[in-house]
Amino acid sequence: MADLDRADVLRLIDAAAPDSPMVLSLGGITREMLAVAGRKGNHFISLDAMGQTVSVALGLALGLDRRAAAGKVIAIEGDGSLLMGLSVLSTVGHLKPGRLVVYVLDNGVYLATGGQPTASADTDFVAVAAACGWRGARDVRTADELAAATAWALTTEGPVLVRVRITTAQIPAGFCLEDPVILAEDFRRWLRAVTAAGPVASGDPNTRRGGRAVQGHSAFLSAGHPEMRRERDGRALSRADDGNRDPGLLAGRPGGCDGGPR
Amino acid sequence: MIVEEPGETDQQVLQRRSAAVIAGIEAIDPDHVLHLASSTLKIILSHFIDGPGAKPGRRVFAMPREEEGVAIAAGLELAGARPVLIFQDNGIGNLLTALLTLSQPYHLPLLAVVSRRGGLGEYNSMIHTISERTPALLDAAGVRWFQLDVRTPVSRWAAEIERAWAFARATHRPVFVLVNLMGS
Repeated sequence: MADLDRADVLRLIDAAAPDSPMVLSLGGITREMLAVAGRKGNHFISLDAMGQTVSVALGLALGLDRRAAAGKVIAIEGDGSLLMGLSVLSTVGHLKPGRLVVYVLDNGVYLATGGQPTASADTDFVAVAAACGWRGARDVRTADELAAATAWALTTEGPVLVRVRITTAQIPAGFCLEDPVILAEDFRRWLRAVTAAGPVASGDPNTRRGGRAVQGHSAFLSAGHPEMRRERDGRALSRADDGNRDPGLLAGRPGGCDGGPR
Repeated sequence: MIVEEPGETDQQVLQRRSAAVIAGIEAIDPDHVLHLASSTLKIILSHFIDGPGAKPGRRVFAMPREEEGVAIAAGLELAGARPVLIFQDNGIGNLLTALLTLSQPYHLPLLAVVSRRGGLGEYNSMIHTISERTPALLDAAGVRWFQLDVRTPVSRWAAEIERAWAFARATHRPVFVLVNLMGS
């Protein structure tokens, strides 16, 4: 039985990893992330390409493996989309990108299209990931478990997978009508700025942790998860002081992904 | 028609054309080579998997499906890497959705070296049913492609592959190079 709503989970992940490249799956994950966090430079929004979220994140993690400043690469995927490209769990397990963290938000249905059931109820994603050679995987159902799993995932050598059982509750969220070219370029510009500022790491790229972002995670975690506590207390999360947003890059975007929290 | 290979056996043609493709890809110097199994690509894949092309700093790995490779390459491209995909044309159908919902609309360059099947010299009685339609499928999808076959001197193949890489980046989109390794 899940007691987590998708929007709350997205808030928590965004707050926990504000400096990490993040690939968002299509549909409700993208729309609700935009609603709770607004347009952010570190979010790569996939408007379609169902089944390929983890693959894009895998490519990012591999491509950034010599850029310490890039930190963890996070994919936020749904159960239905993951099942459409499940083979990537094997590819990830084989390549073992140390930066990769995958969240699977599992509500058991294709919610964006009307709630048709997926096969996830009989699929143990954690066991599959482990069997494919991932370095770790956890199954979480509560806010406390999510907080603990996030603390673990952001400070543990990847690849790691966190399956989050969520409800089918949705929040009001508009469509993202942004031009994909702009989505890609915004993300690239953010990534260039971040990686240009950081050192090129040495040694085996698959056995390193991201320096800057991991420090950020550590600060977040050592503070006792204030964002998570706020979420559990039911209080609104202010994004006014979010240092990750670059108004110069993202101001004035029209449509359903124009930047502001909703 | 330009025929550079008079008197050569099919195997000799395969070896010479494969060497040209290898030279073209090596001229690009990709840091990631993603491949999918193909008997006609065996010489080329062997070069990168466990031959001289298996260099330090270069990742060479199999993609279980072409669409997964397209998406991994998209992430690599966003990260500033230099990926090349190698597979055969009967997998074109697998990748169209990923290509047309990710690489193409997001303007992410991608170079795919795709071996032709189903033509003269083919030994599979079925594969032509999709392979013959590869150009039509790519045209319908609006994917830019070039073909290297007997009409292009093998001595030009490597340079053409290198130009296709540059063209993909200059035009911010996927570009496919269809290579006929089987002798026609």
